[in-house]
Amino acid sequence: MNRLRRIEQLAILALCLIAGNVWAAGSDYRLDKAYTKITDIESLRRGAIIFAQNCVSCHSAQYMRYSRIGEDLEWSSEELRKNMGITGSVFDTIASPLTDEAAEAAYGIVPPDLSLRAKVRGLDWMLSYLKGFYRDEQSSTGFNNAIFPDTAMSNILAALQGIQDPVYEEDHGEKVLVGLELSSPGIMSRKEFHNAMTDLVNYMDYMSEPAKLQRVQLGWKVMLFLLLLIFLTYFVKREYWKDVS
Amino acid sequence: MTEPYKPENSKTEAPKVESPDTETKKAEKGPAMKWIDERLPVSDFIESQLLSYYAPKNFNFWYFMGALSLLVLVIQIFSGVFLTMNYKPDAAKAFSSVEFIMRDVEFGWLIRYMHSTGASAFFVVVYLHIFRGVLYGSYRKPRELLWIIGMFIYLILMAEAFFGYLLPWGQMSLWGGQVIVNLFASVPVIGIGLAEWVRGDFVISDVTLNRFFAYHVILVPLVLLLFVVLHLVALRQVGSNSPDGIEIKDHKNSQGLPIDGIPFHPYMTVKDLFMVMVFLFAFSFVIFYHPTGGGYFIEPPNYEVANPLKTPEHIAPVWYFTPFYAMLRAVPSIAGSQFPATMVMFGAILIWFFLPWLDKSPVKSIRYKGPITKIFLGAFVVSFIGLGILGTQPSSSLATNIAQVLTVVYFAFFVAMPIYSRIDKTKPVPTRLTK
Repeated sequence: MNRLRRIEQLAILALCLIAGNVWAAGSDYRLDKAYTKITDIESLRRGAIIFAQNCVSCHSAQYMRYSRIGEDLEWSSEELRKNMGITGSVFDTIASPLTDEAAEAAYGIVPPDLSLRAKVRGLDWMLSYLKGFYRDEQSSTGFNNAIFPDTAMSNILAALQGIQDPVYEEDHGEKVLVGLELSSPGIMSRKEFHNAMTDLVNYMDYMSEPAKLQRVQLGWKVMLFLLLLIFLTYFVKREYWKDVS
Repeated sequence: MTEPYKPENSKTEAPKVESPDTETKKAEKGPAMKWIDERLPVSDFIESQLLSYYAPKNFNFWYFMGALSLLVLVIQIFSGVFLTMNYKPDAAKAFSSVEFIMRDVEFGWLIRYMHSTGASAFFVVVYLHIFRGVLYGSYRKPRELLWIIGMFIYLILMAEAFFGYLLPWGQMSLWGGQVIVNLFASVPVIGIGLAEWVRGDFVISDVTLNRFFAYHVILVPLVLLLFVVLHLVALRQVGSNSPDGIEIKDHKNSQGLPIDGIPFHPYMTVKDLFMVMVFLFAFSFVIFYHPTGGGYFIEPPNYEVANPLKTPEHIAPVWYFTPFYAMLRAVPSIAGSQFPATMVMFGAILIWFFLPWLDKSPVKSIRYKGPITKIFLGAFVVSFIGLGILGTQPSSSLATNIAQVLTVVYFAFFVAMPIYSRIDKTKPVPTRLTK
């Protein structure tokens, strides 16, 4: 009898194991791991400032309201205006001075809206992309990207990061990009730049879902309450089932 | 109802443990309840459906799934109502209205995640519920109709999920919808017209979004509720099966009550209540910490607005459809027609309806079935999950070959059942429930 019941238990276990396996996925160029922490407000603030200073000139974030950033990052209205370079109303969403028509005319492509980009690409991809620019004379911008080959974006972070050159290896007679090498340093050290980009990615994660800040802080309280109810209902059940032989 | 009023001291007449003390309950009924009962049989209903409805006492883990699917249904209806208050079924506004819910509606994110996670949770509990039926032969006589109604619920649920997935109007909403609507287009002769009729347009457009919204929030939920009620009524008629595949009605005591049964209320209700809490705990973990389900509950491309001019690199439906999607891709087109693949895919679902008549085994429960049945069942589980995984992956020739083999295994479980269930060795079934 016991053996038979083990079969049923095994079936449950197998389901769980295989369901877990589905989550594994692969990629071509090895991605950096983005160790971000959404509740690190300081990191989000640094990220927001980098975003406002570097990204907004070309990219919009049409679903992100400035006032929400002020609330969540605990900035006063003056701080918010100064840090994010707001010229209009704080209740506006993040717009870029570069219009779609102007972008089309100048670059032949409209830079994507960045509100939800972190959700589409994932944080590791974002970080690797931001760190992945290298010198390429063939390209119209003078730079290429290890993660997103032939990206139309110019290497606007070069002043911070410095200039990287590609490292190739021969694999079955084909040139394969295996790494990047810093050939002329920028304002930031390698580590500083990595940390700055991690902050930026953290901010973009926040921007893709501002409620995440609320969500992760509320979740464990809800679960703790439910845990209490699990115990409570367990003992109620045990009490009722005492008279079942 | 004809019982006369009993004074307090009548309690001294040795109360019986087996029979719920219905007489005293009725005697204690207040005037309000009496007034209602004379006009609407509320007390009788509670009595017949909960208090004197007996369920086998050895229900295990698998038997929670029915109650949990009811819970998820309620969660879906309520979260859905609140989503409808801010969602705009308009191709120009749908995507941003979802973002409005996520950002500007108070606790809108929670409601939306409850609904999106609820959809996946629904399929988790329903798949486990169906598998329970397969394990213990719950589809066998006299529960054939109960099983068929349940299968209709599964079909309706798939339609509901499909219509709902178009509503956020993301890239995967559009392109996933495209794949399914094209299935109708593969029907010979009338296919093109049929697909146009489904879409209401030549392409998936605002018109399609509007009608899918109507189906998703009105038509399909109404039909779903009707079938859920039918499922419950049919269950009350035949009673629950047990993990041993034994009817508790076969062994009654002198009062005509099943010896191995216990009243649904309070025993099963308190047990289910405990499991509801366990479920909500897991459900909350997903909602608060992994609301996109690692990209399987909400797919990353769905954070980009639907764009008919830009095909995503890789189209995959949500996980609960992937086994059938893998089959669709596995079947080669014949004479340039996708129709055979469509037939195979629908066949894979429809064949479930015939299960009660395919199983010829003298025993119901897997506990007493022989090794051949267990091997076939194991192979089936592997094929279903394997196809599910393959359906999420980009297609390659190797993956297609594996999917073809698994599709054959999937169908073999059903088609060969009349043979292997008859010749397989079985173990003697005990007359009474085991632990």
